[in-house]
Amino acid sequence: MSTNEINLCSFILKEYHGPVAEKVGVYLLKNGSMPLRMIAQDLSLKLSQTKKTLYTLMQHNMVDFELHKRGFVEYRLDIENVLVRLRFPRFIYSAKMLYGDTAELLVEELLHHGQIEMSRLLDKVTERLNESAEGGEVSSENVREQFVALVHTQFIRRCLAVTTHTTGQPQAIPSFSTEEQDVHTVPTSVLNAVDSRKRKRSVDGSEQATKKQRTDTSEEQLPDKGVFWQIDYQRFNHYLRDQHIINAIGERVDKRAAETVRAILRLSELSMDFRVPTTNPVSYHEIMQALPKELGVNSETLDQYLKILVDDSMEFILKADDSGGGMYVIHLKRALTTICKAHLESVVRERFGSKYFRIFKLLMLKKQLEQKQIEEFAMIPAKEAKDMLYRMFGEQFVTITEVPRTPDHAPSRTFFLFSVNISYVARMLLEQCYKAMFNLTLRREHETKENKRLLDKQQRVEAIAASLEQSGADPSQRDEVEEMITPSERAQLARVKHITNKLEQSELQLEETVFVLQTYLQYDKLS
Amino acid sequence: MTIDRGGGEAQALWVDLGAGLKLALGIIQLCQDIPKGITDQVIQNDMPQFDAQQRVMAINRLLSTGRIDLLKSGNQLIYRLKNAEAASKVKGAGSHEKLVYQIIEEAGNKGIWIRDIRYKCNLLLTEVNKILKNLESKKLIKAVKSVSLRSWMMDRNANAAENVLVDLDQELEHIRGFICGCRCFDDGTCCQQFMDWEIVDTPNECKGDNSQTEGLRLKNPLSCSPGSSHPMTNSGSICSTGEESTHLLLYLQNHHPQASTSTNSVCLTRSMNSADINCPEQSRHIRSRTSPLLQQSAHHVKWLLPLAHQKMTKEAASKKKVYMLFNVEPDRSVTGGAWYSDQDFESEFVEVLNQQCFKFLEQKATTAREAKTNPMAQKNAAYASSSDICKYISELGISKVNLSVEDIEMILDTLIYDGKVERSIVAGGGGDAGGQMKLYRATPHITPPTGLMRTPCGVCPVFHECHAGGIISPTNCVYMKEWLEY
Ligand code: SF4
Repeated sequence: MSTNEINLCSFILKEYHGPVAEKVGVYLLKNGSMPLRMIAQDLSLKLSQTKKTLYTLMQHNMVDFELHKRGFVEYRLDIENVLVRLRFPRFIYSAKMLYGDTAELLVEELLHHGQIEMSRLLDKVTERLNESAEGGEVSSENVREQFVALVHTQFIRRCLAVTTHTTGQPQAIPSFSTEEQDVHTVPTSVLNAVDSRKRKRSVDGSEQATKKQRTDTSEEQLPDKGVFWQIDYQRFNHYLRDQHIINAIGERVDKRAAETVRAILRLSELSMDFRVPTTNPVSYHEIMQALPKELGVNSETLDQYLKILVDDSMEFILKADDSGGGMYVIHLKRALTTICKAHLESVVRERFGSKYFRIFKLLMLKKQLEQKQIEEFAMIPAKEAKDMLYRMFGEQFVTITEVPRTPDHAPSRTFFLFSVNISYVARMLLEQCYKAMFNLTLRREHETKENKRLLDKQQRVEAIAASLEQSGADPSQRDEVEEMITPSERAQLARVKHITNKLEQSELQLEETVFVLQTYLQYDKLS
Repeated sequence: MTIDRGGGEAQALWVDLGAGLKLALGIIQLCQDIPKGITDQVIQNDMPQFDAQQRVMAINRLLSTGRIDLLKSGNQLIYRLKNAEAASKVKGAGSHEKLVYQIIEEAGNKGIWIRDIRYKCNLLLTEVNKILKNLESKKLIKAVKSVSLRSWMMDRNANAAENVLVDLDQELEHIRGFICGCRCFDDGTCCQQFMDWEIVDTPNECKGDNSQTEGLRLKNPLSCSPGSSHPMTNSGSICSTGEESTHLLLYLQNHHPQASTSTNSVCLTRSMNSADINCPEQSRHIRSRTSPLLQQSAHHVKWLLPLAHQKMTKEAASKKKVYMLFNVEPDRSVTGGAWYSDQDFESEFVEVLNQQCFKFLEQKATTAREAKTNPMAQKNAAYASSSDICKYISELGISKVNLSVEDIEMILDTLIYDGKVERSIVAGGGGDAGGQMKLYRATPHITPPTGLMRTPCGVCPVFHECHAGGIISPTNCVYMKEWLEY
């Protein structure tokens, strides 16, 4: 774990969970697993406060616990689940793209709460939908269906249930049922419970019930108490990964080829274990059926597309078998490697220039080369090539292997072979991404802090204006209030808004690079 | 005139072929007498004292050194002097000139180094220079600047493999390269051993006075680890001693086992003779230190010091010049192909070609895409073969030199390394039957510029110095500021 990573984590924790969470989080990052008392003591926090913080972090899946041999409980921060926070906007967006507004809200709420019961989530979402939707009321039935659909497509999973101990002896940590496979189904008991409550409420008369429920939630005995749900990060990551592959094919061949790939990925996505390098084989007919009709791909065209994809030099798609009109698989590892390479190349191209890039790519293609050969292949004059090569070597994009001809390693009798170690470069760039991300977030915080007074004022003014409007005051009054912000202040506000937007957008883009690099490294580790 | 010429020939031959070549000399003279050519019968009649075996050997030697030509007339083999018409070209010139001309002609389109000319004709440098100038002004030969000595040397090595004579010359080359320090061989692969040496002015210890002479020195004493028992590490920098000579011999032994010790001795002797100086003290020194095997040749090493005294700069300056006949088109290895003009790499030219090739392919890809045919046809239409591209480029007329398909393929390779183009090889398709056809097509990048590079930090020159709360920090960063205001 590098400083950059820790910095970034600490920033995320501070931004979303407050300074105490940051303290605890960083402490856990630096010290590894730690028992509660140690945490409290070392950070000189109150025990209750520490406990609460740990609750929160656990609620958001950031902290894990396990039983130490000696019988006390240790807490551990899961750094990946902290960093995944940066990806939330993309998760929400994906849900929206896939299933529409309801799904978007479901995912958003769920991410916001970390873990929550189904009934509570449904209520919240229905409420929010009704608030925003003018006119027609959104039925809670609809929301429920959407939720079940998300569970079935594995974007939402059930948290492992706590098993009741039969011995009756108090245990240090709760034990969980380990029946993994049913986390992606909604148990009928839960469904019934939620439904029965609904029915009861609709009998009561909807208006009142909603009001009452809003105040009561905390005390009310939830019908599905104890069954919590959470977002399946892994599944979302897979979805995003698939998007990258599809986009790459789209750029490389065309839209329809991308759709073909999407169909293959879709067909095998639910039954996939992420630890295998290829997808399950999908037959030609299945692909044909899965393709959207409006694309107008007939069997002949599909044939050609598949042939092109299989022949492509990137070799994403392989023909696994001839049975069933041909079985096709997608080589995920290779795909990720290619995409990751494309990103690395992009970095070299943008940072150094196209001549440097030529050398870099040359090394990637030919693996090990001597300086002389590089000059000749790349057709770059020796002097320039040397400069470029050494600069990239200095920035660690290129590595050297020494092959001595004599045991004394004398430079004059040694071959120096240059090469590119992709996973090494990827790791290095990932570090740089973390740092850049940290820089961006820091800058954003800085800008907001600088203009804090102004932003507060704007908020106040807006609140007053809103309340005036609600109470039905005449527009002139409202204008008066709004004029409390001077034009220069307004300009400044616009500027701040522009800046924060820009920074946030860059953060999202940067996150994409992080995602690609992380996913690649994951696959790289597999073999 | 013929007699005079024959004398010159004989002299050269004696040097090149060594003793026992009376027969060869006789053959040459016969050839000169009968310009139309001679048969084996003629030789036999003229010199009955040699048997068939000897004749064959002599003729083979002459053929391999290019002195004579083998022709077929009817069912008879005829030997003829190779330079019959060359001789007429240099009519009126001295015998030395003819000899030099012949040597240059032999070199063909690879050209020949002035030093080699000297060793082949055994004339003094000044004389060779004069002759070369003379021939040049007559437009019989020309000097061509060689791109790299290395490629030329390598070519030579290949040819020389079976030719002992050239082998000898090559050894000489090594020795001379050794003397010249790394200057002559600074990019030679075979002579890495010498990379550590340089010529320096050192106090002349042999003479015992303080006058400065040139000597050899280890360029970088540290590059030699003590473990390698290199004598120089102990003795410091002066090296006009005999130890390098030992080293040299060892080197020759190790690296050119095909050249026997005696070969080395021969060439050393020759060097010694040409240098004409003795230094008995040196050889004693060496004899005491070298293995018995080497001792016999150790006395030849006396040449080393005197040679080191010679000024080598003049030759170093002209080392990249090779001579060839005036109307000969220089070989690629000499000119470096189309990419060199006056031995400078024309990077701009390469860039222009690179761009033009890409433009061509890109256009092709776009038209293919717009044609809206089926995907397979679309893909195939985007491909262009290297010969097509070559034609296109030559029609554009950007290049003054004629570009071959291989030249264009080199350019296309750079496009592959640029990540803009991909190649697929089709067997047996198109032009030359049975051969392969190389097809190229433009391919787009599969990702837009990555997120990291769209932030100022991605291209920041002080990225590693930037820390929160530091002198350079994200909060006061000017790059950020500019970027945000934009
Ligand atoms: S914040 Fe500014 S100084 Fe720091 S790395 Fe980014 S661009 Fe460079």
